[in-house]
Amino acid sequence: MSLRVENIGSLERQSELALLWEKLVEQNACAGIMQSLSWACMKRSQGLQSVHIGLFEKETLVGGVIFYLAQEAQIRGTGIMVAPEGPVIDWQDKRSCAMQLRAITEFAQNYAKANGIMSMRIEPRLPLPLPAVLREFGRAPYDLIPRDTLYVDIDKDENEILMAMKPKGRYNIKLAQKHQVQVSSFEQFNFDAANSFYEAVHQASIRDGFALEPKSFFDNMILHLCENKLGTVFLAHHENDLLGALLLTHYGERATYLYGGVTNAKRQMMAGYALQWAAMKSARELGCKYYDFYGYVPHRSSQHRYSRFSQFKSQFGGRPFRFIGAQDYLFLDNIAEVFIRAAHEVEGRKTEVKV
Amino acid sequence: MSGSIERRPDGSLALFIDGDLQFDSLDEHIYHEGLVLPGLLAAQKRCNGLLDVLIVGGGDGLSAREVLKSDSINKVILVDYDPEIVQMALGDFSKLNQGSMADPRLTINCTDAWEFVEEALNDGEQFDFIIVDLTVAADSDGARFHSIDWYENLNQLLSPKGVMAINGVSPHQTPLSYWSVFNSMLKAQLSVRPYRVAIPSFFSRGYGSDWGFFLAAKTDINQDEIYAIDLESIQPKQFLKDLEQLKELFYLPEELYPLQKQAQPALAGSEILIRYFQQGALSGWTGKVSDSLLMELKDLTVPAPDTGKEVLPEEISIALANAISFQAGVEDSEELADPKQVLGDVLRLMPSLEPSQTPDMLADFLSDPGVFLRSVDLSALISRILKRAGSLPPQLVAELKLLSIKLADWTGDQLSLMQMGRNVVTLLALLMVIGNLLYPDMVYAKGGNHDGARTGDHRGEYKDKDGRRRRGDGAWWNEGTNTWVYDDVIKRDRAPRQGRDRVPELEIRNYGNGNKGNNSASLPQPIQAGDKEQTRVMLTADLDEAVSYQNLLKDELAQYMLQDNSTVSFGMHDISRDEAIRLTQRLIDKNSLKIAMLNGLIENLDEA
Repeated sequence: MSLRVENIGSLERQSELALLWEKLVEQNACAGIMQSLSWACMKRSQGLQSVHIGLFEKETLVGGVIFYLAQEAQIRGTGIMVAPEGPVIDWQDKRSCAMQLRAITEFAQNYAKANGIMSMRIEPRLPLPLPAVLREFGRAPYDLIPRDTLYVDIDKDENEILMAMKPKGRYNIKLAQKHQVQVSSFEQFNFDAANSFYEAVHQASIRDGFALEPKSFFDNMILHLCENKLGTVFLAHHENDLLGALLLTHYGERATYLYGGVTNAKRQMMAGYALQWAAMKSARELGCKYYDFYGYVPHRSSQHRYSRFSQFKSQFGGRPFRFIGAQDYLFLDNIAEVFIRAAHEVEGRKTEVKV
Repeated sequence: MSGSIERRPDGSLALFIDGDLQFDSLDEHIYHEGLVLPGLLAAQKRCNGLLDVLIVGGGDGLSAREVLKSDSINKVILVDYDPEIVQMALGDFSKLNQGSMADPRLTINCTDAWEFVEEALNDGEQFDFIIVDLTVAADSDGARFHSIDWYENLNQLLSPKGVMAINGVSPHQTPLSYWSVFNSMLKAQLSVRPYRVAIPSFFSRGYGSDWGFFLAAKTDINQDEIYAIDLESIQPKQFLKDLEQLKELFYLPEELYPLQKQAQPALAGSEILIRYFQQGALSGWTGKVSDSLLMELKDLTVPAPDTGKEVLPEEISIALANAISFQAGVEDSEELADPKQVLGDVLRLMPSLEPSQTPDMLADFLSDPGVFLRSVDLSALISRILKRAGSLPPQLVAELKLLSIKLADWTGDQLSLMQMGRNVVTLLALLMVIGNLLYPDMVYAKGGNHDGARTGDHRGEYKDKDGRRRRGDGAWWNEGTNTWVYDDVIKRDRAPRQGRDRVPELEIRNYGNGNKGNNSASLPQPIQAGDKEQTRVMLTADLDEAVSYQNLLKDELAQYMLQDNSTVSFGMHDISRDEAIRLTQRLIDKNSLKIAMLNGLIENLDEA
């Protein structure tokens, strides 16, 4: 099998190659929405660059990867090229996997040399153990996507999904219904919905002490996801009070609870449970088989700020998954070059300091 | 770019691009009259006859609306890269822009502004009035439109008596960015006058209590000239109605002026403008103002331009120059700073590299700089550096060579690494940290950092009996400095237990007050019972994972040993059997240390 590697750039969304790429990503259990063309478009609007590498057998696209890069870092020579939920390769076949990964790495190495990049970071949704093909990689200092998560199987009828939950989960869903918490969904971008979404997550971030991206980030994300029919915003209200919000993405067989939070109002009405249940049902209707809670940290100290989130998530049943986490392949020659440049700069400053 | 329009029940609307407000119909007239009218009227007065006008950006048609109020316009060329916004201007905003985009005097070019300007220069074109109405730069691509190179091109495109009006940023909110643009224009041999307006919708979005513009020309624009312009000749107006109001636009806070000489101008490719966004708003404002029209431009000091090609931000290389001494062989000198402290101090000096990073997030992100070196093959890297080391200071080369020797015996412990090659390791860790920090999503990453002795979750955060935020490794959160602080030096030297590796020494230093260690044994508060059990379960899970991985590696090693082939598969490649054995053994050694550290943490729990 001979493999051709090509920088396929920004594909026209409805082109044959683009549609084939989306199909490859959707069908690859170790990939996800962050390797989709829509996500790449959104990240470009946030200021990141993307490099789309395609792997071809004869003329057929068989895999590839979308890397994201920060341009300022590249200019300085300290760039990293990041492939969240990638690369999209045949992880099941050892021989193909090695060949495809090697092809991507060689291409990335040449690209890195010309573009001020120190390392390549991949983050496939591969379960443990770490496959032998990754022995030349090292564990990255930071994961972009949660290594531990919880999957709820939603490829069953609603009653079965409910019965698989913990009793408290079922009880709180019913309690929210009893309180008449209303959940509305928005598949098209709507300013009021986006404003309400941000209000809810903002209140949650202050109350629970976690960092939150700015409003423009969420407005932009919701706009892109809704435009490409990959996302839905859910809002929970009681009478006129906003109780909570949730942003769901759906891609291939997997729906993901990407962001969400409850406000400080009427906490006893369990709006969080109502939102999750509405999102699960919606994901199921869209044909998704799994609902990913996107982060789950069991057995954490009860004082930890993420402990309560995980406890909440666990009420919905689900199976914990642990992935291998982000892995780095370092381009040592490039690091050596940038180290030398930096050392010269520091030496140059010493002369200025002395003067 | 992705534009979206918010329409309100009262009929007003707002345009957003990628989530950022561009204009609100309730107060856009303040922006557009403020940007356009002073320059337009100055150009009318300077240039006899009809004006040729260039608008860069402004695809919403609102700047064009102001220009076309004048009777002295020959032609208007509008260059905007975004066809979506232009379509909106022709449709959704046509009432607001009063049909400016369909005016016969106006020609629209949907093309890159840089390319347009270069082509126009090649064609020998000139314009009497140039308006730059671009969105605020978010990356180096946008920042080039505030560079010396850009303004030099515009200067050439400007007719001898022509005037330019430039959209800036908020002088109050981002003073250094504002002055960086000003200084770039000065470096481009333009005469520049800063001025500003107050836009309520910008203020409510957090963009600043004021918004800045610039007037520029080849020859000086002075107070007499501005005070003599005929405001009445342009009608109708909603904002700029009289001379007193016009004068006030040029009154800037007195506290703003001293910052001018600190702001580096930028060459194309530099992102210093964007870095300056993080430097903080103008402080200590007394409310006193002075007239920018009275600035003596020829007496101003302008720093050297930022080329954007330096590896290290300026403040970092200066701080390192002060802190690092490339002295080989001086290992335990009290005169040399603790490298981890140097790294921590230097990084705390560095402003956030991304708009939305907070000191709290940075502190958390940087709590264990050693983790950034975890996957680096240091021996191989140092070997590559030494091959290129011809031009490096001799002392640094000597340190590199010494480190190379010591690495042969290194067990993989991050703490001892910092002691072995202080300056090399500090600089290397800094480069890896910068690379990670400059990737925007990293500080918001839901993954966090994991594995190794200091796994993110093994910190096991809890509140101690005094209500302080604590971690499982003993550190506590200092609200005043927004950093994790360790108690005084504690050394634990354990006797090896049966069946387990010796626990490495745990050294914890007090970074907060520069204490080099007084060995006082103030122990961290004990972890609560419930937390302890939960932390144990997690540590045990990680230990099981590490042990499984170890067994896998040992199986692979055994297989390599048994193979007759001289070439075997390792990772993605086929390599020599001996090399595969060496590399696998190294992975085993590294993983052994991780297992030892996890065992140590579990034992700490038992003893806490």
